[in-house]
Amino acid sequence: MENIKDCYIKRIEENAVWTKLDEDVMIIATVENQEKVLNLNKTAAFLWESSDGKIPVGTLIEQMCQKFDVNSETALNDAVEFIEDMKKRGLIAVSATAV
Amino acid sequence: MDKSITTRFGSYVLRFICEDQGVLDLLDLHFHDYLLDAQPDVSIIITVVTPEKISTVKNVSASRYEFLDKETVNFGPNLIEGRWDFCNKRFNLLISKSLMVQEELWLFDRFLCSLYYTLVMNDTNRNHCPFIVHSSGVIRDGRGYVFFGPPESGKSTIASLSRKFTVIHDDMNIVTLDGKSVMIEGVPFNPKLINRTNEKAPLSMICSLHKSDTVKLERGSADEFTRKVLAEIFLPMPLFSNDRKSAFQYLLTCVRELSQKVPYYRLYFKKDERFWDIIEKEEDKNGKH
Repeated sequence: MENIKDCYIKRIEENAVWTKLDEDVMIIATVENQEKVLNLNKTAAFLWESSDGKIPVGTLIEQMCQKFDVNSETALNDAVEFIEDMKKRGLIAVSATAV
Repeated sequence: MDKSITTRFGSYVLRFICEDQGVLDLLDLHFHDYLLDAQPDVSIIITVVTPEKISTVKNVSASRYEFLDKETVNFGPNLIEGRWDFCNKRFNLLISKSLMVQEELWLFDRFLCSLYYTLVMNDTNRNHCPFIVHSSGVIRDGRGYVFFGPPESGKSTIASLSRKFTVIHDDMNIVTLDGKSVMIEGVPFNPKLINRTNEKAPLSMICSLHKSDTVKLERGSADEFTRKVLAEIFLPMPLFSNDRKSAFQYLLTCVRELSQKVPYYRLYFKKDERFWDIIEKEEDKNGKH
């Protein structure tokens, strides 16, 4: 994910049931043989809720810095970790263009 | 006359039919106090076979399943091959010999939990919002209490410390809606340590378990309850439906609804019975007596 900041991320809604709880998000992954309950912390929850395929990841990282008072390196690391994990679970799609 | 036994699982009646008396004896012991004489909602015809008689599937995790076609499922993997006869409410199972021994019956229990959710999702009168949660269930003075948590959180300890009351089950319980009341009842499987009881009761309190040096109760929010209890629920994976999303959405709806109806607390406890005094004080304070 070299140019991750230029990518767009989008939730794969058919693979998840989710709800917002306080500032967190709880996801039930429905992918066959990978069914699992996931509890996202507030930064991951922000990324999940923002994963509509319309905003570049770089902009989301800037918003994370402002919203959660973290530096850009931490926000980038959190975003990369989130994207890799969610992609592996079949819960988000990453694309080079907006949808 | 078929050789059979009939048991209750939540609000459903299951009849197991098998020619092998040894298997029926095993199940009789397993379900013992849940056995009843009633018309079944579904008949399960068991044929015990050697493992090679069951179709082989790959890439299926333990206690998960794969569809062989729209009416046939392979569970285990390769432990049970089940064909569903929807019209006659009959379920024909080829079960590997290796599963029909006391030590492996927990896997059969998992299969029955999936069957239970299958019945729920196909129930036209589905309004009881059931879920199966890893928990200890206790009835005290006619009121039900659920204590849930991950492995080693103290579920069996709580059950053990509650022997002077009625322990429903020390590992898995069913929470349902009955009209406006939330009810608790056990699953018909053998418990881990403490003798179970085939009873149900209105749920008075539901607690997450936290081992501690002190004993205290703290009221938690509905959101916290939802977050914690979802992690301990047996996920509904109905057989013969690829629409898992509907089942999971229904589960989430049920948990959210129940979170508004029953008081949720965090219970910090030590290995003694004082937690019941704290619960009683809290209920007195809230005017439950």
